[in-house]
Amino acid sequence: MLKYHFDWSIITSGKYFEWLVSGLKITLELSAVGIVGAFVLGLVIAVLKMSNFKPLRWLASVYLEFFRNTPLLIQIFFWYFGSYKILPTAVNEWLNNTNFEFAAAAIALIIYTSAFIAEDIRSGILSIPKEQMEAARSAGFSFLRSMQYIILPQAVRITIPPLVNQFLNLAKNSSLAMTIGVMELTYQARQVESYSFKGFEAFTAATVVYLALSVSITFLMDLYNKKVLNPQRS
Amino acid sequence: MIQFQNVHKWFKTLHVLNDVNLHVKQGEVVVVCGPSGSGKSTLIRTINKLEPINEGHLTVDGMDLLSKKTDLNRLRAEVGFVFQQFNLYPHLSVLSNITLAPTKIRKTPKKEAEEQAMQLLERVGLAMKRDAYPTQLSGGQQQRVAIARALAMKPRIMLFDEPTSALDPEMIGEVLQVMQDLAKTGMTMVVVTHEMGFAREVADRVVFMDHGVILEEAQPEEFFLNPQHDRAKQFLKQLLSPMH
Amino acid sequence: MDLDFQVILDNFTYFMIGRYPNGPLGGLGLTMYLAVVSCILSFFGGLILGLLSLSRYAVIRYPVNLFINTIRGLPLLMVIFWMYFLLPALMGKTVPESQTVIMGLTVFTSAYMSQIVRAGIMGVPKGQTEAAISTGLKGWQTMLYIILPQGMRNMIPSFVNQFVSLIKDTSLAFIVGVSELTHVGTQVNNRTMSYPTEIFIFIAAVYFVLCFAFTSFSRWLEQRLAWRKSI
Ligand SMILES: Nc1ncnc2c1ncn2[C@@H]1O[C@H](COP(=O)(O)OP(=O)(O)OP(=O)(O)O)[C@@H](O)[C@H]1O
Ligand SMILES: [Mg+2]
Repeated sequence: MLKYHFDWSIITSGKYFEWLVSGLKITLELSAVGIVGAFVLGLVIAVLKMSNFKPLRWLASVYLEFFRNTPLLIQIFFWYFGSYKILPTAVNEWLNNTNFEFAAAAIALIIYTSAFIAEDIRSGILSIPKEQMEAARSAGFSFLRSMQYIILPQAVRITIPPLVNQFLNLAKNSSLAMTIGVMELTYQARQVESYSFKGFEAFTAATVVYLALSVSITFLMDLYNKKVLNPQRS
Repeated sequence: MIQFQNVHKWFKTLHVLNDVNLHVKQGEVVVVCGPSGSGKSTLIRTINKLEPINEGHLTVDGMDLLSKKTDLNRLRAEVGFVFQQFNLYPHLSVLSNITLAPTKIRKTPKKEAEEQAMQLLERVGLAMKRDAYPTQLSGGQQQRVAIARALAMKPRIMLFDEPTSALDPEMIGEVLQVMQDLAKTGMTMVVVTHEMGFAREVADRVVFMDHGVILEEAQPEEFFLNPQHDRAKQFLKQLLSPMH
Repeated sequence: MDLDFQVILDNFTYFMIGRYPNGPLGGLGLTMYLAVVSCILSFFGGLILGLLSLSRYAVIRYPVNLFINTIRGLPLLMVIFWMYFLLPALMGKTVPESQTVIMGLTVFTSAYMSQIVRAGIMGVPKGQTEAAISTGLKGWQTMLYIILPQGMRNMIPSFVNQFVSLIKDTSLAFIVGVSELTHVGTQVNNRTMSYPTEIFIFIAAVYFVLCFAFTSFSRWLEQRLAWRKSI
């Protein structure tokens, strides 16, 4: 450790800097795609899980339990290495013409995270006391109008913090995509290490970027908690 | 025994104790009353330093509460405290609730501590509940166990913060009885309560507080028959009105 | 789509215990070993960090919280790489991969466990502390005899959930070459070439059975403890 010569210049400019920046770009792309997809899919699963039709509820439960209780890495490997045998030929052809690594990682992240998101959305809606619905109905609102004006606005407010937390988890989990060759931030940090032997600098750079992401989102969330959820406190 | 001299306390900008002077002699029973938010709890909680004071002097059993040298744990072991919400330890049996502090602090052997605990339970009339858990007891029973727990440390002073306000009316009597018996043994007691019957019968002195100020300090008879201060008159009228 | 699960049967023991007893433990056995050891270490790590993060001394509280939040802001993969990279430098010798992974998992999980400990402690009503110190108990005695035993009850289901996360997280050991279940899966996949679907479905199923069992256990505990509390 004592003999180690720090050289921060290699990660602040030049080839390695560009690698790291391109890695960050892919991390952000993968996270963005993942977040949108996971949110939409999570919403659908949450609705299924709360439907009145038993087989749908059951299906949603199986989905939730299965994808929450298997490692994301295995799910990534499955989509990357193993999905071709169970997907229709047309889909396989389409996938082969796209950036397959990216697509497999995105699919895995979306499905894995959607299972957590669905649960958060569901408990958000269930946390609204059922008297709220009764009150709305007896005030003359229809079921849908009650949902729209009374239940959902409340549910959304309490669901946002856990959802944002899941988005943050997704961004961090996107680092696993490096295992199938997606050149995101962690991949590039490792790449810089093996080419330059400046692992300390490379990992520090990646660490700082991940922390910047987390800190800024956590900060926004604190603000939201203070301003929206507990506005009465100063 | 307890001496307040020009004591002040603030919660941020709220002046909760305003120039309090009070002297409680050994063996005396002092009842503190006053409207909600007047600072009664704060006053009694300063005596074992659950709340520190900001200004003035406070000595308890010879210990100066502002001095850094005062051993806080020793002070608290000397002063028993009974809470409005009982605060029994829900994960421990009645017996263990009582023996915990003597065995851990006074290093009393377990067997001896249990014997003493049984004597105390006998005294509060709950010997048969030794192995019960707090959630299995009624409020009145819980409060009596809490009193036994405080007594187990052989305190020289006992403090009560509205010990009967959380109780159903039919259980108030059993707790007051235990307190009255305790007063007869010569224990120094400070009691925040609105039970005027208890004050009349047991107290040596009644202290009336409002807005952090001690407005009146008198013998019970005098206080009830002939309150000096308008606020005290109003308070007593409200307390005795059938609306209450 | 026709799947052929013969490959699973042929390699079953290898999946379960690696080359043990003729070689080192691997496969599911090693996965469990990594998870259990890291879990025990993280329990104590989380307890210590959680207590320190509630210290009344700012000089302790601030750095500890900074550490906890830094770790929680990072992907587990980064933490493992840091260990991979820092441990040999700190220890002055090479560190076996499995120990590197255990350290990485422990540091990472301790940070999360500390939050469970914190919430558990803060969930115990303030009156309990006041009652305890009013009888003369010292701060640490109050924590040990009154607060922790009550807080633990709220923490246990969350601890079990954290253990489930740990089981899933051990799959990352694959990346530094520890031959646990995931690694064994990719090995068999590379060797046999044509059964990736079967292999990864099987491995997912193994993880699922294990994790689901503990998830269900945690739910059961939660209900049971809630019920006990209400009598
Ligand atoms: N920890 C605290 N922080 C800030 N303000 C407090 C705190 N504790 C009490 N107060 C405020 O101090 C004032 C006095 O409170 P205190 O509890 O001593 O009143 P009290 O006479 O015991 O009232 P009650 O009869 O309702 O128990 C109140 O206005 C209360 O809101
Ligand atoms: Mg009070």
